Amino acid sequence: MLVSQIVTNIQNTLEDDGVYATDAFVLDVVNNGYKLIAALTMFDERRGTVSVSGARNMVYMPQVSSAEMLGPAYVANTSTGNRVSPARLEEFELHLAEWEGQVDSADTMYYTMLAPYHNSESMLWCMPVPSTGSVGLTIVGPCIPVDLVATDTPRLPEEYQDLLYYYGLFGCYVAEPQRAEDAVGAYKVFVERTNQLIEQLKSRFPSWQGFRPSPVEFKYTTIMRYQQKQAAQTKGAEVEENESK
Amino acid sequence: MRVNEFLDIAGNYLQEDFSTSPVWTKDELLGCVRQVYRQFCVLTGLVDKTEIRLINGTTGEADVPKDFESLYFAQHEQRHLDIVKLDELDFVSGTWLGGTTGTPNAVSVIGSGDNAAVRYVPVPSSVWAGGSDSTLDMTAVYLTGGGNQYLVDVVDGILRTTLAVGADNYPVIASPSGNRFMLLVTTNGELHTFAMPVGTAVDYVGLTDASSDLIWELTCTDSGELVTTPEYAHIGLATAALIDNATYQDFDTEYGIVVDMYADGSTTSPAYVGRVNSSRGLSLYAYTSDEAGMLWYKGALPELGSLYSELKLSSGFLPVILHGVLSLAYAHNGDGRDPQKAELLSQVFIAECEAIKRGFEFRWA
Repeated sequence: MLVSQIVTNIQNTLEDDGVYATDAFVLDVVNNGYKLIAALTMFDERRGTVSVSGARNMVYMPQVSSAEMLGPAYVANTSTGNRVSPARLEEFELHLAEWEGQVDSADTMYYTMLAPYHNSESMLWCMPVPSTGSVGLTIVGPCIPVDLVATDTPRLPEEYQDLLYYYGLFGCYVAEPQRAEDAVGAYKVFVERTNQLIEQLKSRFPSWQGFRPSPVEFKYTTIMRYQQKQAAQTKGAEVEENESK
Repeated sequence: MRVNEFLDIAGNYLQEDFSTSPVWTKDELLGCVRQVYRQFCVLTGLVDKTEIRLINGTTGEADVPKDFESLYFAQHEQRHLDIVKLDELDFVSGTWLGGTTGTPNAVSVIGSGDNAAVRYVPVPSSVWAGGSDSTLDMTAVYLTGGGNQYLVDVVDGILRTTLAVGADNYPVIASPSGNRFMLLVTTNGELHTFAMPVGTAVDYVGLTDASSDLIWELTCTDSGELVTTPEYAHIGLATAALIDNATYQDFDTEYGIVVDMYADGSTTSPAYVGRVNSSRGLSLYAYTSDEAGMLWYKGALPELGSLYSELKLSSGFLPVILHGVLSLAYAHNGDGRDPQKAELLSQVFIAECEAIKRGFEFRWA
């Protein structure tokens, strides 16, 4: 589905033909949703490469066509095809000084991922350092896609592109006065659909790989708000009754 | 993305153009971003950091960075140390007790936040006791040449001579091969060295930078050429170092792989603490010298100084920050107040942070 169609659908639901929910604003909201979905579901897997050398056994996560890679789901030596296995930092028993970045080995065998909060800070710490000077690694991992324009088709699976519609509605309701309960409704559907996508994708990310998408547990309900309101009204009535006595 | 651009996006949601009688000002929202930014770090646990810290030679303790949350990996002299609970230390051999010295086998964290201390057990026996290396540390050197007396000092890393009055001292510096050179000055204030056949020499003269408190080592090559290098050297990809808790040494022009770093000073009363990339990214790997330990810890992103600061987060996480900021904005007591939206967005923010945390926590499970 074209992004412009998603934007139009949102505006139609809001019965707003671009007066308040302008094309630019709705597109911004859709793009926010697109990136958030990518971070939560890790749907956008791509292939990138990095180079590891003796001087730099820590390498930053790559960008693939300007899309930031969040983390590695699969790492292999580009030339030999040998698998490079994930390990947790505490599993590196650095009792030998050589393991701190100096040891030479025919091939690097393990990596651990650090600081995944930003593509330019997120790193793979590869051990041992390859003795062959420089080794290329192929990484397959989820990315954060670049912004969509109206004529683009999202990289989401077709059957999950309604996620962008629901997030768009949520964002527009958040921007409109007195629409909090509508926003809750839209966000709940968004979360439900997001979790369905995560359920479908998470088998690609076994836990030992260091990370995998995790369902969003959104507990807020309009009933809670309603009950709070009712409780406040009841309390107010009691106070009035006591005062009148 | 800069904070200013981010707030323009938030302003679109709030229907606030920040121009005419604004309900929310950018300064107010900057405060919200700062708070949410910090909450995000704590709730997701994504911010991994490393720093080298000086170990006190008496107590075996190293202090922690200001944004310290929890320790998850520790090294000493390049070795990985076990992180143990304080009460577990009783059950191991006596050499593990604090007060004895040896090669550290474990660390234990005492206290919380930036008041925590990391205790190395046993206390490292090989800590530098101070004064054992051949140096001459001073804030300035006075030399007289041709009747003019000059002050030799370092400002912003630049070795300079200026006309000044003080007590003359003519340090003799040993080159790597043991040649001796006396530091002299000409009538015009030009520094030069003079070969000395005999006499006591120091390996270097340590001059404290007048503007940054960084110590610069003044050394001589075998042919008598003077060289200044910062005393704090580093390993890893460093963008900045924090010296003595207060002064940043930026590597704007010397950005790259750092070769060595060690904290210097008296180990019982540290005069200087060198912190690679404190709150400014992650150093790569590091050697740790005898008196310093390497801490890997959960921390926070750098403080956002102004509207022009960079939000150093993946663009996939910025919508989460946006939800948190809008939550605080709608809770703001004023015309734009909407407690229902504030509550909703607060729950959205927390739910998303927790999902991200669970997604990445397998790294530590």
